[in-house]
Amino acid sequence: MSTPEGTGALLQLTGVSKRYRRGPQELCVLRDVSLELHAGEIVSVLGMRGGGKTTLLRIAAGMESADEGAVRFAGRDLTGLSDGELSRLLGGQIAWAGRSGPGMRVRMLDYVAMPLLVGKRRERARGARKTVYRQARCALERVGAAGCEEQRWEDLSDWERALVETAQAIAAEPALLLIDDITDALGIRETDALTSLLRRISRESRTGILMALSDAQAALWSDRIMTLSGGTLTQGPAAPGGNVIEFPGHATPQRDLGRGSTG
Amino acid sequence: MSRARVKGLSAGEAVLGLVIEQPDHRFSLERRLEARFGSAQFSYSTAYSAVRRLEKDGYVRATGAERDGQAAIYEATPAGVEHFREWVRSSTSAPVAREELHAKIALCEPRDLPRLIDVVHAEELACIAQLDSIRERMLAEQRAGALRPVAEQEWSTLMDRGVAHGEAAFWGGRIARMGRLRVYLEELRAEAERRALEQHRRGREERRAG
Repeated sequence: MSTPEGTGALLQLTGVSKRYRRGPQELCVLRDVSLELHAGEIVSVLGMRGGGKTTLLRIAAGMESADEGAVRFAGRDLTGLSDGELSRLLGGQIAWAGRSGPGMRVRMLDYVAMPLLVGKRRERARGARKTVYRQARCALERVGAAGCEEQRWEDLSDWERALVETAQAIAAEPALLLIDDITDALGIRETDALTSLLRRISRESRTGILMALSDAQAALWSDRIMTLSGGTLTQGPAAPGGNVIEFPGHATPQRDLGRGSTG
Repeated sequence: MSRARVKGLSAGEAVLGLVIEQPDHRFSLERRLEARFGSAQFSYSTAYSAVRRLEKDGYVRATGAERDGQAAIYEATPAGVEHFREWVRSSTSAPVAREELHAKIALCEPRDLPRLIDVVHAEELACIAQLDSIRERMLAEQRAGALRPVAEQEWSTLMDRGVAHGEAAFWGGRIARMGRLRVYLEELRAEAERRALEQHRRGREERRAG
């Protein structure tokens, strides 16, 4: 493998291990996990519940630190960053979409705008607020959920929730999008619609997307498929000529270098 | 390597359906069978012999004699169309779980465990490869414009989407099973080591006592 900086990867995990203490037992959630994700690429990580997917995403987001190994985002080592720098990164260049919702009764427009307002306390003048809400509206429109602006989380269907979560995640135009199983409750047409939406986003904005999935269907629209079980990441055999699919009219993500199989 | 086959899907009906969809040469039917039912893993000559059998049964007929080096084009007969419609509407047979792997695990001794864990992992990899080939098929479709609004899409594309999801769920489920199995076998390997150590210790104590 070449030097970490040399691969040009957006996200690079090298030899990442994570253990949790549960009473007298030590649980190894991630075992020597290495992976690379490039700008404009979608990678699916398939695994059962409790298989370590969410931990992997949390480590990639800098929300948690690894016990061993290195995590690099755009060439920067996340372990060396301060809490302030990390929280600016998350919600800025790194975004998270899950299924948790706002946890309070707010309009979806406010929910989508929330991460955009974080860290802008001093700039809460009318102008900044206006820009933020324009951005939030734009994001909801982009995913086709403009109709949800005034609605509350409780009143939305699983499908609309997935769209709103996606809108919130892309509102700040992140470089890296981490998605924790938002397709789980969806039907076939909805899964296809959501994943092709993600595909369009990743092509248009060169967003790198790492998706944790508990069922395989949503993985069909990604560029690479990996599995995570018992803390071990398994990467499938590379297709001839690499797995990166060219899309007409869009830049092609750099073919991944030094992709090693761990496991 | 063991591999689950789509039990109950005979190539005959699949090929007959393809001929009804579009009359074709035998060699193109071969290609279409692979493209549409690739993960059923029919062998290479399957479409070829299926056409022969269908012709004998009177379900397809050759049109345009084999002349000027041109291969014959096969089309369905009315009896063939009727047979196919009946098959589509009849209930499907459930697959039989006849796993080579299960017998291996059932009859495995502790010393075989490390190798068996490798076998399970290899199977997991093979399943990822299967999923990958479905993925590539879907992406090729997408490039061909399959993500247009439903109303503008070809019927066969819409139906294929359902098949792709079904196949993905099958391989995904298998990947999950293999993952769980591997974790379990690894736990058993630790258990086997613990027992061996225990036995060794007890043996030494007995020797000392005797």
